[in-house]
Amino acid sequence: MMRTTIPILAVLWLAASSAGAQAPAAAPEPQQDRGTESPAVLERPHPDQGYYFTAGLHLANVNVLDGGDWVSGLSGYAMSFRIGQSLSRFFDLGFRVDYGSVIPGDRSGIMGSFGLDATLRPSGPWLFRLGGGMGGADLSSAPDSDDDAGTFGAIAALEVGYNLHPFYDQGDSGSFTLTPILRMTSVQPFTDDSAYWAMIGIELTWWTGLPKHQLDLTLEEAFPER
Amino acid sequence: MRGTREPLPGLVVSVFRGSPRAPEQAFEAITDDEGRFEFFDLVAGDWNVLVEAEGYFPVRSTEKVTAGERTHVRYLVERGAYNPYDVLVEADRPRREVSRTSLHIEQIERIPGTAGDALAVIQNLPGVARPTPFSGDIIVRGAAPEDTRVVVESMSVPIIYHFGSIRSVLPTPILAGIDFYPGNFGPEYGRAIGGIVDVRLKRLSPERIGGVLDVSLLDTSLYVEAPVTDKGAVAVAVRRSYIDYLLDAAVSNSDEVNLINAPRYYDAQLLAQYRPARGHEIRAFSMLSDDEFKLLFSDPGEGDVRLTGNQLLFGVDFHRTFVDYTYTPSERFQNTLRIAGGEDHTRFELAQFEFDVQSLQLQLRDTARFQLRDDVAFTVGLDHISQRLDYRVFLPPPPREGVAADPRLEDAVATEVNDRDVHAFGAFTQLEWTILERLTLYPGLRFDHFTRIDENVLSPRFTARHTLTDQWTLKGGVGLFYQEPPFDETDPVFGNPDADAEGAVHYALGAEYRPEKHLLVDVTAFYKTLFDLIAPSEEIVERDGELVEEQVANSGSGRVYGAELMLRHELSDNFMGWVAYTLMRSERRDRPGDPLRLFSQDQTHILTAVGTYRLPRNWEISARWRLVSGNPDTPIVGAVFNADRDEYDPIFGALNSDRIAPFHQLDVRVDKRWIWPELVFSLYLDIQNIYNRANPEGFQYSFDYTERQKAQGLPIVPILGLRAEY
Repeated sequence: MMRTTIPILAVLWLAASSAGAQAPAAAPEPQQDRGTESPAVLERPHPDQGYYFTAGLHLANVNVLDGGDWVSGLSGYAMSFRIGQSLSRFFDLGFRVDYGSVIPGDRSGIMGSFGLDATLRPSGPWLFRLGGGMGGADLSSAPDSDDDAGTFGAIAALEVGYNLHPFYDQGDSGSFTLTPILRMTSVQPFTDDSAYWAMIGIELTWWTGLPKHQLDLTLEEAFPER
Repeated sequence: MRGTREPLPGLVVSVFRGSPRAPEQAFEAITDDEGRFEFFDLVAGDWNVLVEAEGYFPVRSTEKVTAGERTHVRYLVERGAYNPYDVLVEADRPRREVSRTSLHIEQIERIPGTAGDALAVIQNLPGVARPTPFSGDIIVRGAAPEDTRVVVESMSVPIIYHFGSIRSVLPTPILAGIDFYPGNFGPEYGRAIGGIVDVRLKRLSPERIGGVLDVSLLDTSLYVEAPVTDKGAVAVAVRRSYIDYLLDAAVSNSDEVNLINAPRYYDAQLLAQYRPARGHEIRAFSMLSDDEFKLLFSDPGEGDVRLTGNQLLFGVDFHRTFVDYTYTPSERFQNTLRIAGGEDHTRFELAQFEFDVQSLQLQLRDTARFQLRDDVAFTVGLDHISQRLDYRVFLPPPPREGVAADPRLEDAVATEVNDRDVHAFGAFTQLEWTILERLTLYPGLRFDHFTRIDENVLSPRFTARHTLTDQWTLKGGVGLFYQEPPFDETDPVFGNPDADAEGAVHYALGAEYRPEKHLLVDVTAFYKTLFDLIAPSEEIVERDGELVEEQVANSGSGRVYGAELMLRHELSDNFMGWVAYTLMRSERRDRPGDPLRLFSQDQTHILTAVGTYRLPRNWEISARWRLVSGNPDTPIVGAVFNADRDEYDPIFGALNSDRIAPFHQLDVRVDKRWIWPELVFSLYLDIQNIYNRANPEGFQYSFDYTERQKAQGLPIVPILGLRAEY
């Protein structure tokens, strides 16, 4: 017999007892607050602007800690998909999905995650990315074994990459970008089990660019003579 | 303006031909109150149009003008970032209380951990303890959940959340804000010894038809408002969950359980306003709510041989309607008359056990305020509630705070009441007297008569506020508060029909400091004395010529003391947030002479930090972190085998002598808005418990009580929602 500290009957009795008592109140006067203006920030055209849609292909190595014991890591392929927006010249925010499976062999396994990515581009083509959300991994613990070692829970990720813009025309807003990346992800699950995986690969991103009215243009650029 | 379709007056519109640096011709116009502008006698050809204004992205366009024709253009100017506070106007609202936290819907609807539900923000306020998941309890300054009243524009409702805490019964778009009084509330509020949560409905003033469609993983809601002539407005809202559809599709009926009705809820509201003439306003509001969950078991005896039926049913449905008339002939007088009515139905069935409670109620309330002089105002009011109760119960006695052992199914008893009428009459008055422009005194008095317990009570209350400077305010108050016991405590079978009202004396002293316009520091120390509390009794008394168990009596007492700190930053420079910390001790004594013990929901430290930051490109990120002491717990130190029932009976240690481990949790929310020409579209992701803390909520024991494990709370939970505003 399992005993929990909060029986359902307590909840139901409280709900029933509330039918017998009321408290009136006066209707108070309305109150409102004034907000503040935000500036409309214009940006010079550059390739990493607007919304982005990214697909990535990676090699991944996954390790699982199962009840305090490491399960031998497995390697495989992984795919990533990201969608988001550039908030400024130096910062992007968006959503990410990862999925991977191990290279076919005598063991099997999968990994995946979903969450938010925040990208910092402090200078030049380098980027640093922080990720958070939910994810999990599951590996078979021995050859041809049905004893899986897996975990699911919150994730934290750190990534570094280098942007290449081989198709960018100067003066345009938006472009395609190739980005080799290295990403480390850890899963902090509900139990003591955890998982870690590393991904190395390349991402292809399409940046939509900003609409003309959000670009910092000179009058000649905004109204080219016909 | 793009998204809201509001006209923008005062914008400078420039048109020119030729090179921008050396135009052949150039003209300017300024938009009028309707956002219109005109240019005349433009020569045929291409004209460049430029609109620039601070806070907006520029409009750059080229239009072709044809000789002899009028060219019509429409430009939707986009703001740098859409501020939900734009349309609001600051207005001073007099403060008469020691402690009142007022929150506007725009401030709270994006707080993480609430899934966009404005009423869920109550748990983030100072003095409010963390409730057990799915209980829906509101525990204010160490008071029992039933001691705090949640009202909607003075109208009582049986539940404020669907199924305990999933969603509130009122959708966010129909609300204006929440006023929270943790104690020392004025005499206009009564029948409560804890706190008051007053939910304010929106004041309708739409200029055109508009609405909001909100779709989340839990439910979908629609809100529409529209003007009715130039004197009135109406709003309608509906919401329906689809957990039941998802469960029906995902969970196939098994041999053991047949899911008849998976948990489902819906609610609907209608709000109307009309101002027939200056100084007159009529408002009508109607709401309904329905929760239901039903299971059928193929063989209930497999779970517990004491169960002889095969159905589990839980349902709560209610509706309320009020009409009020406000007459304000001048600044010196205002009177509001309200008539409200409704019906509640709460039902529970588990095999042969049941309770079914139906209640019809009618409420009449009138409040008049007289501004006698600039420094003296006087409020007087009447408040009456009538109820007709019908209930049928076959259950064990309800579990009571301070009793470690759970009730047994074998102890179930039956009771039935039909057409029982109960009334509660209240009258209140309050004086506002300002001395020397900076010290305001608020003496008040409330009278209540409760027919259910046949008792009259008088509640004097006093509050003072002293504005030392424009930045500093001192405040204090003392007051007497009463409430009727819950109806089950006065039932002849489960309780004591001779029970009296419970009471409390509140003391509070505090200070407010406003170093800047958008900053507030509020510190309040409080002390409460509780008396005549309903507590278990083992006495034998004579009732109607028979000797019966008293079951409960007004023998309990208690005290609560502590301090609250609130640091609040209103929206400014893209940031809004607050830190609320409460240090508190709540104790009870069940009988005179008993030692004080901890209240079962005493939480010594309650820390809540909430912040919202507005990012560029209409993104917004919010976070909430909570650190709360665990609830007291009564340990089970052993067990004795009961051969009659073939199970173990636990042996309890000292009541509330242990404490569950502290709780802490981080919730994060991200919002993104897209501003389309006539629509604002939002997407939000609310992740609760983002670092997946396994917070303990209690203990689960083995059948012989030799082993125990922690009962864990909710894991990481993502909630995705979409919202469209027209």
